Amino acid sequence: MRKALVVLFICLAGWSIALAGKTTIYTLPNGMEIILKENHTSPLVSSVVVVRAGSKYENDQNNGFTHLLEHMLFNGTETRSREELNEGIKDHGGYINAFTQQALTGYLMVIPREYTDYGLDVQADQLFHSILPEAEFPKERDIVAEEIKKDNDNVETRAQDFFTSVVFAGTPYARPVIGYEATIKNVARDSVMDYYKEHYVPNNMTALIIGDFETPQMQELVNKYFGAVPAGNPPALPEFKIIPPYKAEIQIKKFPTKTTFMQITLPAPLYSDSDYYAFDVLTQILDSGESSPLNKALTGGEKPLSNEVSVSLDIEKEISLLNISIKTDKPENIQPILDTTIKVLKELPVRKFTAKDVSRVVVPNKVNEIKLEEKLHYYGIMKAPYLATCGYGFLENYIDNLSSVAPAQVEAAAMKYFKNLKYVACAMVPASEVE
Amino acid sequence: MKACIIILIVGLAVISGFLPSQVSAQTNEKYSKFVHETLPNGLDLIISYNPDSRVFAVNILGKNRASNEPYGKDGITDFVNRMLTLGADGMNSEEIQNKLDDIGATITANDNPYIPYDDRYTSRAFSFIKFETIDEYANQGEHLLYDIVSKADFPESEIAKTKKKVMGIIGMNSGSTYQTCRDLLYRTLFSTHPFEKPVLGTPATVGIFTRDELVKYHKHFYAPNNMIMAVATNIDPDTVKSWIIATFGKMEKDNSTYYDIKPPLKIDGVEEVHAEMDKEQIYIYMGMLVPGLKSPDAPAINMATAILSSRMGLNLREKQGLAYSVGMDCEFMPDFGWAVASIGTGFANYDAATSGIISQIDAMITNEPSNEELTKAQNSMWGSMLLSRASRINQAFYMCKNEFLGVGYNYENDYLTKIRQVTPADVKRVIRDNFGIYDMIIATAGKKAE
Repeated sequence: MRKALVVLFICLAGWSIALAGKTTIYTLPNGMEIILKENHTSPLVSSVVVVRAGSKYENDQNNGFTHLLEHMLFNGTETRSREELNEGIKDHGGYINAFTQQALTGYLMVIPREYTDYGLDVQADQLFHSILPEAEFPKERDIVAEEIKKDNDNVETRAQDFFTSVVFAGTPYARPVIGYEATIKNVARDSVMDYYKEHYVPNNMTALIIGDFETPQMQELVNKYFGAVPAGNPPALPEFKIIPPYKAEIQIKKFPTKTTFMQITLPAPLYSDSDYYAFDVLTQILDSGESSPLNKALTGGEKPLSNEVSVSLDIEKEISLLNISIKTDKPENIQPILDTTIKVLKELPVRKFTAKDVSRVVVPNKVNEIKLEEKLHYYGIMKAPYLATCGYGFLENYIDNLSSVAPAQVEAAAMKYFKNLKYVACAMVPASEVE
Repeated sequence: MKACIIILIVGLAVISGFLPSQVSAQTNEKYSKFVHETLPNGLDLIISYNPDSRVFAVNILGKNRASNEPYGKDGITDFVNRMLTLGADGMNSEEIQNKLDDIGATITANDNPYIPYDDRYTSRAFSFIKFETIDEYANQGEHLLYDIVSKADFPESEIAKTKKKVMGIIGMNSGSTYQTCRDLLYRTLFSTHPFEKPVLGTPATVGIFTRDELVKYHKHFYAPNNMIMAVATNIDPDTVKSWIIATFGKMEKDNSTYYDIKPPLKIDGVEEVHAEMDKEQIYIYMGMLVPGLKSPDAPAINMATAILSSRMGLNLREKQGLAYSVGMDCEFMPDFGWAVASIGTGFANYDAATSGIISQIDAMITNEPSNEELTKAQNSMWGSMLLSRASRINQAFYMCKNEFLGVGYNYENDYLTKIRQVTPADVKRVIRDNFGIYDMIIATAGKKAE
């Protein structure tokens, strides 16, 4: 989220180019969005390509499809074997991986700068020329089945899956990204190939490349490898409404766990709304550890109600939600925790916020951005969800927009969103058997 | 006081003359400076300077944590670390948090238990306190860090809360096959050795920590002569040193006894230990003792582990689909080390997974790797190291760790040279001599059979 020092829009040979300090943003003639960020802290180059293909594009029958495809893209291309693809980057001292989320699939490649040409060649080959060999499907299904078992054994993941299924009930977001063993077993190669061809086209992708390179040379490489692929016809984004089932009662799931997990979800402004940044500041004040009013109310005093509290914003294209996550070792505390949380939130509209309160949110964000730019392999992973959902403009102007929030705007946001509360409260509580 | 050493490295170890497929050790053509000095109170201070980033990162390492935790006080180091930001120099936890937020600073002194499989820093051998801010707040930050580390107050109310928090994490971990299996392996591999102690302690030990014990242990363990401090910054190192002399340099040396970590007893035969858990997966850890970092074989052992890990990934995951995650790693102390292979798999795959790991080791006892495989492993190890040292805070962490391990904070400057010297015959030999598949611990956690 670098401050844009100079922004020049140049129309040149069909390319629209915006230069923002060391950041260069443009669109290739085939529609692929390119963001180049020079960063010379390590002799490495990191490329994350965001494909707008995530689990929200699936249905009940093919749930887990996108994630399985992500695995299959490591199984060989028209010119490279599975070993050449997987081990080739590592053999050059690099790292290659991928991740699937609800709104995107991200492909990460990090490589010593001297092998940038090779790395981008492999990454483009993987994205555009994978062959999804039939013979590899059973093995990848087995690996995904193991991944599902691993997640099932993780209590935290089980809790999160439960909360998501309640809050997003009836929408594509309610389904687990990884899918179910039963659906994975029935996935046919042809349908995965169709999905691949439809979604993995340059005009459905954004590449964020950060690292130790000179921009003109990098543009040549990007054009050579990503620009050579023709545009496709990506499917229109599915449109649906999300209306969380707000109600006063806590929705409970029993599970063999020693810790009780709880989540309270409230509506929040969309990232494009004018009061988004004021609400973001408010969220971060609520998540400010020891000085958070919520933290004090729930974990302070002689008999604290909970052990840990955290607050975050879930930003999707269709909706934004404020999530308050709580852990306690006393399941009988869930109702007092909910009551206390509501009390704290209802007090916010009458609280006076100061410039110092805002500064204590803005300064850590500025510092974190500088820290993140050192970690080239994390940078793209952290930014990918915002690229897919909000676009690079949101990221680029985020710190400036956050910095411009006045205390009065925070108070107005508190008044608008917390005066009349509606929420979804869920808890996963200990039980001897899985419910 | 040791003489102050300033080393200028221009184009750090630019190594040439390798096979075309070998990566080379290159850095930017900007210079780096290192200051290494032991202060009169015993604080081992390392400052690394280069202008490439604005991050001001400090790591403080407390030496020999497991051997210095008193009998029956398992987990006290971890507990002390958690208490540091909860009260210091008359500030309460909120005031400390506000001061940190004012300069965008963070302190990390424990693993985040809610992000599984990511902990590369927690060790039974030492503790860490990581501090980060940026150059414009560096002086203020260094002062704040000093107050937090040296003047911890240990308020009773925070002790009670922290006990609950730690108990909660211990409880959560006890439900994890991965954590349970890992602890079981350490308890068995290091039976009667300080490393058998769990880092977090146990409910029985944590539950009875008293404020007096914590205060006494903190004063002893975080005495300057038991700490190594590394700073990575773009600020002139002499300026940073003057700040530290004025703060940490004032701390009093502790002349009482500290205990080193000695090598564990040798393993004799194969010992299998199991924790039955009602889970979908079974986690398998296979551990064996290997020579330490002082051994000339250490780079070859590292290389052997990397090749085995890659082969396990290829054969057990990519070809057989037995697991989502499988691999091998090794850790070193100066005089001993330990290699651990691990896999999480469905319980029906237990036999295939166990025999699969053993057969990978066995295959390398009889056949040495090819030159090509060796070169690939060397490149991969070098790349991994570059990645993990990309951030200043990790640079500070690894400078402390290497200094603690007795190989010097700048051990990694010629790391590529060291691993390039390893031959296929070396790899075969170290596996044959040290990776004894007849002398190992096999720890499992999960459902072993229906």
